[in-house]
Amino acid sequence: MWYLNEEREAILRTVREFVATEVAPQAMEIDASNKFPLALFKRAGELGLLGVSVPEEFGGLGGDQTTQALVYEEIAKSLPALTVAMGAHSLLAGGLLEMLGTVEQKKQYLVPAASGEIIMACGSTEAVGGANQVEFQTRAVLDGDEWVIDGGKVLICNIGVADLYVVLAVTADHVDPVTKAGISAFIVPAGTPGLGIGQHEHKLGWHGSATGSLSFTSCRVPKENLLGPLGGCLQAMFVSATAEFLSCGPVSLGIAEGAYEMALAYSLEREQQGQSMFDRFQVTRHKLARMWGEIESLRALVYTTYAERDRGELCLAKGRLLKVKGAEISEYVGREAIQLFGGVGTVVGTGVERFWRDAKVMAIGGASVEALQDVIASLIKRKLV
Amino acid sequence: MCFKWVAAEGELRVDPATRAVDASSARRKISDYDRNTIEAARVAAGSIGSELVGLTFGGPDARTGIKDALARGVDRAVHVVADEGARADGHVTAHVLAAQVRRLEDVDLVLCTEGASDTYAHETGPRLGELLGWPVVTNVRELTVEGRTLRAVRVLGADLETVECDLPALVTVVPEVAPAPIPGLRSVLGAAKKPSEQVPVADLGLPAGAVTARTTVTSFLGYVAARRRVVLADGAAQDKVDALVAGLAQDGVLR
Repeated sequence: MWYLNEEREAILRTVREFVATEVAPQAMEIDASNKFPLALFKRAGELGLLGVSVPEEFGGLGGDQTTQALVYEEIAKSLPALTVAMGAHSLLAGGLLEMLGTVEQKKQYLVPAASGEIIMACGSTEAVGGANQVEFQTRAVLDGDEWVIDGGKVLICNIGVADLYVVLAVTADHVDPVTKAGISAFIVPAGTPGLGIGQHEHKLGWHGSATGSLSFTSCRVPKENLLGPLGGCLQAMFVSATAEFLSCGPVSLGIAEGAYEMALAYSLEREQQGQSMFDRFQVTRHKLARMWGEIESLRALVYTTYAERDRGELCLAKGRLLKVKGAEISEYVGREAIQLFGGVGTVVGTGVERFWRDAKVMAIGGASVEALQDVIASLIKRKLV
Repeated sequence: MCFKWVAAEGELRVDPATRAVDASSARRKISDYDRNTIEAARVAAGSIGSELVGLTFGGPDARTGIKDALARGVDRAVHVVADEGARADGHVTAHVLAAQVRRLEDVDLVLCTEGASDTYAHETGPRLGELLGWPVVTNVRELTVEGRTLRAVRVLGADLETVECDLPALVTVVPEVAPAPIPGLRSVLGAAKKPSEQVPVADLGLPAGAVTARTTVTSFLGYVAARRRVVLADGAAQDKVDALVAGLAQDGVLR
């Protein structure tokens, strides 16, 4: 692969070993139980997988985005939900801390986060407006030396297991619909009085990602827990969200590869009338050829975009495109993989169907592909690709 | 310690018609058992404050294995390079490794694995010890070094035997000697900063007889499961079960 070099190959060896010996043996059980893979998350931290692109001065490896993408792709081949938890921790919450935090805040939170000593979550999405910040209902009011937060968030990853939450709340009379000024970010440690943690939702896919609601009832945090400028965190949120959307590319790629590898192996092994399905049925061969082609086209898009990101480009539109195309292709490949398995593929617990379930959630989780297409349209109109 | 860079067994492809084995697309790796040996050697070297040198003999592609070994805890590494290295037999491999061990200064202990995961011939370690003229302790699952004495626990089937010998010595270890940890990314990146050396086999000055294989692989065929395609379709369920049991017993599967 053109994007691999000696260093990235070496890092991939570690990730593959981690996946083969520790992740894969538990993947089916985690999918069945919907239990957050805490031990695996901590191991990922010990191995350095949570801090690949975090600056070295804050406990990370100071690596590039492409290397981070390779890590996500490899893990997603086996357990996509783990990459979802890693993304919420490192890209969303970690991204906001890195962009908005003071040096002290970064040392206090990013360093232990990079090693997995603490787990972070980001509270943004709300029940009424979804991901549309203009409609956010959660508010924070300064009362003496404390911010008092009231409101709620929904579909937040890493709830209950997180040690701290980076929470977005309205701090002005209204949010400017154009500049989105009026929203601030706060660090809310787990256990803060007034912070309520909901139940883990039993979703279609991403089982084990610990997704659910947060509630804030007169939730008080010290004044210094404000993260970044008062009322001005949305630009950083837009950039950290871009990093998350970008990561949906390699995660989707991994999901598609996981499903494809299972389907190819099954087609070669499953015999009917003395021939493998692959040799007997032209339709099987054509399906696999198209699945492979879609995967390779996604791979090209993912790693060329990441190469641009590593050159310093923001990739605002392309980052969102990775999520859209990744969801489309992984869902397609996952669906076709089930089809190639036939009846066996529809049985929950045989393994192949969970890739399709995870791919389906990719099309919605974080932001729906429809909402993203609208943002992409506005970006390409302004040539902000 | 000595390690081998091999093809990943799980990625070898066997042509079911000819049973020919295709390793061209298989990724390479440090032999699984050697990973445990590296860890045992790292612990042993750390316990006496010694440097751990990783040594391998193989083709140019084994250079990648050097980085992997450095990431797993080897302090420095030497790669004796020969295009035919991967195809050398135990005789050649032992002579090459012995010559390189002699070039290193003050070697007290050499660890080898009982066998590599591709050939599992069990011969390189004992041959190497003999060429060096050192005591050889095989099948070791525990080892400690105190002063100039090596104490090792050997596995003898279900029994354990503890032996001692003076250093320098050569030890071959079983995988149980130490679980192989996965190297963290910091160690992986740090490997690039550790010293390593590539030595052409010709630089060792070995006579032709030492680098000429004494055995030749004449055939290498993969295992292909042969399916009987027997369908027990007739009779009641009990008849089918009886027929299945009888068939398995006839083939010696059930006794």
